[in-house]
Amino acid sequence: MTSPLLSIRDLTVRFETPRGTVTANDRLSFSVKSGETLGIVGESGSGKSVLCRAILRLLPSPPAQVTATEIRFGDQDLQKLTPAGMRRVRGQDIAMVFQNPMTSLNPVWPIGDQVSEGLRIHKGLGRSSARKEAIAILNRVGIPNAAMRIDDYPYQWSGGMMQRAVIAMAMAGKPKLLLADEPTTALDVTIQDQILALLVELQRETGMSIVLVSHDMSVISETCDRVAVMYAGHIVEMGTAATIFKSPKHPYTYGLLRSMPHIEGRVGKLAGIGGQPPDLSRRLPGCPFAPRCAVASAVCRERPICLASLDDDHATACHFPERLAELERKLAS
Amino acid sequence: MTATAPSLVVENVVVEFTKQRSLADLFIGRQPRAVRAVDAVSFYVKPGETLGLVGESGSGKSTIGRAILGLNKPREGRILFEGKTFAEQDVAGKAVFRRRMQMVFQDPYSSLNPRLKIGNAIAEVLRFHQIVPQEAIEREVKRLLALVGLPDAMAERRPRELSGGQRQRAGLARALAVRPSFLVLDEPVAALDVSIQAQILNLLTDLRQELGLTMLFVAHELGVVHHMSDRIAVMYLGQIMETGPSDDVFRSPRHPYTRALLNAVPKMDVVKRKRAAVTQGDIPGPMNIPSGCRFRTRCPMAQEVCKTTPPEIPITPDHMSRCHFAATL
Repeated sequence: MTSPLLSIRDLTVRFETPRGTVTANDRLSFSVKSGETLGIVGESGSGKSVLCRAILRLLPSPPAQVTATEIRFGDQDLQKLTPAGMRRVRGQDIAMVFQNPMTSLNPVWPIGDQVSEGLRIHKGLGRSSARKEAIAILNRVGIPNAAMRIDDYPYQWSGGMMQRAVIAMAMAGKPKLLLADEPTTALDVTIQDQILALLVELQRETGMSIVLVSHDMSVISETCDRVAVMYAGHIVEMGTAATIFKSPKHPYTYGLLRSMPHIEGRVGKLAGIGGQPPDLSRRLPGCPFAPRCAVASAVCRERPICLASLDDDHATACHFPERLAELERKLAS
Repeated sequence: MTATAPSLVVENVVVEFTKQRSLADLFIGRQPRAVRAVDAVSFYVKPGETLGLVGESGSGKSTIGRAILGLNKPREGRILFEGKTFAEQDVAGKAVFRRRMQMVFQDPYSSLNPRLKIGNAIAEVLRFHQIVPQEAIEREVKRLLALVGLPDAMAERRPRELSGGQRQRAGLARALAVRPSFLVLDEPVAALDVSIQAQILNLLTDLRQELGLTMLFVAHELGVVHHMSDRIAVMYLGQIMETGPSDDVFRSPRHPYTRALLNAVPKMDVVKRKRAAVTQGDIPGPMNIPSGCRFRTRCPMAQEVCKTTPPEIPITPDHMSRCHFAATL
C-alpha cells in the first residue's frame, strides 16, 4: 500500500470567544490518497471550512488553537514548517478554491495580473512569460478569448467566469492537492454543472487529489470517491461514496439523505431532522447528534463518540449503528 | 365567480427597471436605458393550487412575485387577483388586497424588524389590520406561533436570538397573521440547511392543507420546486420557457432549457461523473438578451430558425413550451 498524500490525525481546532470556547473541529482523523477525491459534507457550522483552513494554517491564532498529532502532506510535517516553508506549500503543493469568487479576487487588480502573480512568485517567471502562461491556463479553464480578456477587472466577469479564474490561479502551481470549499454554492445550476465538469477533467489530466467541501449531497455524490460526513465539529461517518449514500450507518447521514426533496418528484413527506443545529460553545459529553436523534438512548447522551470501523473502508461514530433499521421503521410509519 | 375561476391571473406582464441617466446622457438627450426583467409573462394559479416558478438568477422569477403584490409596477399587462387588479383599488381596497395576499421572503432576518420581539412583530400586524379585538391579540399571537411550530416563549425573543429555521417560521407566522388566502413564497428555504429545509417544507405542506392556501412558490432548486408544486413554470431571462403540470414538465420536458436544467442537477447515483457539462457559455446579461429564442446562445440544438421568436406551442391543453422544436423534442 502506498502512503497517503495527506494524512491527518486528531486534529482539533478551538476558538476562544467571549461566549466561551467553541470546538469547531474535534479530533478529526482521515487521509487522502493520491488522485482521489474526498468529499466533506455537512451543514453550516459543522466545521468543514475550518478544517480546510486549518490544514493550510490559514486560521489566525488567537482566536484559533490548532492541535494535532499529525498533519502530514507527502513527507512534510505541515505543523513543523516555518512560515516561509508553509508559503511554499500554499499555492504550489496545496491550492485552495473558496466559495465566493467575488471575494477571492482583488476587485482593483486586472484578473491576468492576479493569475500571473502566483506564477511569478512560485515559478520565478518573468512578467511576459507569466502573462503568456496565465493566458494558457485561463484558456484551459474555459475562458473564451483569454488573450483579449486578461486585462479585464473582476467586475467585468460573471460569477462562473470568476470561479474559473480562481480555479486557474489554483491550478497555476500544478498542485498535488486542491482544497475546494463550496466551489459551486454561489453559482446557478447550469454553471455549477460546468465548473464540476471542469474540476473532474482537470483532476483526470493532472492526477491531483481533491478535498471537496459541500453542503450539497448530490454534488458530493457525483464527484467524490470517498466521503466524510461532519456534524458539530466531528466526522460522524466516513466511507466510500457508494457506502455512504447507499447504506449509511449513522442516523444523521440517513436523515440528511431523507431530507432532500428529489428531483423525480414528491415522496410524500420529507423525513427531515427534528430540532435545531447544535450550539458549538456548549459541548455535550456524549454524542453531539443525540438531542436530534430519534433512536438515541441514555448511553448516547453520556458516552463520548469516536469513529469506529465497521469494515474495511466504512467507519461510523454512532454507538448503535444497528439501530438504523429501527429508525427506518420509525420514519416509514 | 365559479369554483374553477383562477385565483390569480397574470396577463402579458412586462416589468422594466430603468437605469439612471448620467448627466452626459441628459445633455445629449439619450433615452433612459431599461432592463426588461420580465417580458410578456402570462400564467394563472387556481384556488388551492401551488404554482412553482423556477429559474436561474436573473430569470425574473422574484420580480414577478413582487409585481403580484404590487411591490413592482408592471409597465404593461394586467395582474388579476380574484378578478380585480391591485392598481385600480383605492386605499381601502389596497389594504384588503394586502390582507388577502402575503409574501414570505428568503431571509426573514432582513424582513423582521431586529428591534421588535417576535410577539410584538406579529401583534403589530394584527392590530393594524384589526384581525382580532385588542384583548384577544395575545391569544392570537400564541395560536399563530403554535401553528408554525414555535413554542410560546419565542414571542419574547428578538430575531437575532432565533436560528434560521425558527426565523423562517416566525416570518411565516407574521404572514399568516392576516389570514391570507394567497401566499407568494420567494425562495423560502434557500438560506436553510437541508435538515431544517425539510422541516419548513413539511410545515408549508401541512399549512397549505389546513388553511386551504393558494401558493406561488418561487425557487431556484428544482427538487424543492417539484416537491412543492402542482404546476411549474420554468423561466429564463424574463420569459416562461415551459409550463405545465409538475410531473409532466419534469418527466418529459419539452424545452431544451428545461432539459438542460434537469440534466445539470448532480445525480445521486454515486457514479463519478464522466459526462461533459450540459451547457456551454454563460447566462447572457439582462442588457443584451439574445434576439429570437432567448436560450439559443446556449442551446445545444439551436438552428437558424431560432433567431426568430418561437411561438408558445401547446403539448397538451395544460402543457406549453416556447420552442420551435417543441413538437418533435
